[in-house]
Amino acid sequence: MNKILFVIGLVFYSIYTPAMAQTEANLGIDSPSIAVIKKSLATRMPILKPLFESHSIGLTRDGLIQIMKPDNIHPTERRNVEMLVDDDNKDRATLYREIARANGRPDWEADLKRTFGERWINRAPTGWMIEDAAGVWKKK
Amino acid sequence: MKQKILIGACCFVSAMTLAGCASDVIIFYPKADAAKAADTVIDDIFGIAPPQKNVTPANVNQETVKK
Repeated sequence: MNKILFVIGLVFYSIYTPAMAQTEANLGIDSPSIAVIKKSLATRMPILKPLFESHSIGLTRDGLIQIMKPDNIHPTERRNVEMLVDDDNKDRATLYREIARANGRPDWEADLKRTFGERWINRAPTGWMIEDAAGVWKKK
Repeated sequence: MKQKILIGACCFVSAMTLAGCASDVIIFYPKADAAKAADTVIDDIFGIAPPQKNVTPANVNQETVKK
């Protein structure tokens, strides 16, 4: 009797455990589209770094970037910077969406944005402008 | 006896299903693992190489000698 119950339990455990394990997100998941977006962001980063360092742009708490001080940017360069920020934010939004999709959970996009927002700020060099959890902008 | 086994199996399946549903809704992922994985993605974008293991001055010198 006990053996039968044990076998039944084992069978159901083996069926359900892998299904439950899939509920954990793999943020490091890679796909061709994710690789393309990461490369695009990495290519743009050296251009954006001086703008971060001059506090012209900053990191938002939801994993995006934002123009902080337009006056710090030369008027002839302003349009270019706006385009760079727009492009970067599009890539970032796509990255979070694609990671959520690759995990089979598009509904995790908001959680991913928040998590990446925290980690971007954590990994950013000292002195960059960051938006804290209360929505206040400050120098890291 | 068979009826008891059947009831037991049904209870087990129900419990596991509920646990699965609950984990889908409540648990997004283990926070520490998520942070580590996100850091790897961010470091790739920042162009920060992951730390190399077992690279000592002795190993580097041997490589140089071989070349």
